Amino acid sequence: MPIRVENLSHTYMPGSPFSSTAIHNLSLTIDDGEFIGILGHTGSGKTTFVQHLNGLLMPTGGTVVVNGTDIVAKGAGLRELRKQVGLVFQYPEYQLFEETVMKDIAFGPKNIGCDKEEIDRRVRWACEQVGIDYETTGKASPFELSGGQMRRVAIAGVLAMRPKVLILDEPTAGLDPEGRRAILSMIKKLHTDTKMTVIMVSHNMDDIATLATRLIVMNKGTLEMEGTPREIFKQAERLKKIGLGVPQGAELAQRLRKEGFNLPDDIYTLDEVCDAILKLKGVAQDV
Amino acid sequence: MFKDITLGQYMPGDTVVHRLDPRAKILLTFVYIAMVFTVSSPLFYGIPAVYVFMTARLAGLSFRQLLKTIKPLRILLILTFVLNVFFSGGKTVLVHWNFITITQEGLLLAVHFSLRLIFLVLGTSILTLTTSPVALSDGIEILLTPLKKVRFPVHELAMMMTIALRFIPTLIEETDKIMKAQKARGADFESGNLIARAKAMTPLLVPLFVSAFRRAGELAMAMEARCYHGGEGRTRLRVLRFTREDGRAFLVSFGMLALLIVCTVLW
Repeated sequence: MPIRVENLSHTYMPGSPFSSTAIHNLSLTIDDGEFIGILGHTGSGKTTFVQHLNGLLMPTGGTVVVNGTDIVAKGAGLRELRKQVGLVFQYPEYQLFEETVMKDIAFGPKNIGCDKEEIDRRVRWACEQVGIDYETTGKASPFELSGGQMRRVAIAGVLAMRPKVLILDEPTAGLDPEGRRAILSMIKKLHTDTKMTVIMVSHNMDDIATLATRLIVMNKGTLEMEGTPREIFKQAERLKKIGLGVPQGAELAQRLRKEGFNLPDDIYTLDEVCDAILKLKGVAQDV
Repeated sequence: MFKDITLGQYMPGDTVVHRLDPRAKILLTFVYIAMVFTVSSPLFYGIPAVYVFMTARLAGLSFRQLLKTIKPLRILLILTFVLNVFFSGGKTVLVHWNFITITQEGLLLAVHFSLRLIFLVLGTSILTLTTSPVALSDGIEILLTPLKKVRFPVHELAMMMTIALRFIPTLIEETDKIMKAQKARGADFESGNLIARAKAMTPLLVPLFVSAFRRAGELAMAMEARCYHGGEGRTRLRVLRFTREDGRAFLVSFGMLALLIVCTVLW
């Protein structure tokens, strides 16, 4: 399911006094099995962009080609597209509505016309993926659960469609550190186990630093930077200029470098910094 | 899709008309309504017409914006006109064909009532076009204050109005978001018969109600945390004051009304 975005532009309410351009001339490609992190300040167009990938928004300029199908073309089959590209919105727990967790997760598969056994199989699978107990929690009302659990159920609701591409918009927003870690490791496991393409939108550098294989940095609706985390986090100044930061590890390494410690400039995780410091110390001891 | 809906008709601006005290504007609208009802023959609509177009000009409203306010009324207008033309009787027959009779009196009456409707809407639209909903509910609250004597909950009503107005855009945004989220899960809101479509609304309405109640609870809590306890002894951020401009507006309006009455009596 490669995705090709060509000169994509989106203007809200074009031609009215309230018109505003959210995305301007964005081009990029996303290959199978990638883990893409989309970074950007509030209002940089991240959310608007991802809503184009499953046809919830239509471009006002340019196009998006998913698996060879142009989403703008007539008869592009939006339902088929949404089956392939699952989108988990920000605060997805607010879209739960069914009496039981099971039924809510079954909503997606039912809509795409799965039979009863297939639905049950998918619900079980999705529950397992997000760490929800099918037998007990499955029969509870989604409104009785804690915030973190509700979010997992909501993610399971999208997973049950068995998408080839999973998009998550700020999946850790508003969660406590424990809940955040749980969601992140769940996403990581999903990506390694199922080999699905994952696109994660965030403005939290640390969330994305350890997971993504490639980063896309957006600023004011345009593509600002693109590359591996290592390439991106090297350019701390540029990131700070557009209102973003760097992961804790990169920040620490940079400050130590300023103090005269000879650390490499392309490390960004705390583990890497730890190793580099130990190495530095080891070298010093050897001398 | 929902972003196209603008709340009310308010067109922000900084003109004399925009600056007038909302209380004055509401009262002046009543003077204007009295004016329209005083008109006794189509000829005299000239006076309210001058009044409306002069005010619109002062408010920086274009002719097109004014016309747009009558558009939702077109069916009612056509109905009024047609009914009056055919069914009001009269002696001077203009056209007679089978069972259809059009008289001069009927035609005049049809024009008269249609114009009355048009001018009523035009004038009141200028009020809503130039006054923000918040200012409007402020004005209504103060004008209704005397009703407090008979235990009418004026303040509570105005507060409810303000809150409701404030949350309409929020709820529209919320609806849009939930709708998209369910569409992403394969929900279909557009096809099927009436029953299928009503059923398809459940995944939209349940989350919407849940969030509306949650928001209401949060708002009540936030208001109480800031010591809100009703209208008793409450002062205002924007104290309304009548200015010279309000005085002049009253003078002009009553002048026009008087002129109209004199003309009608002399006719």
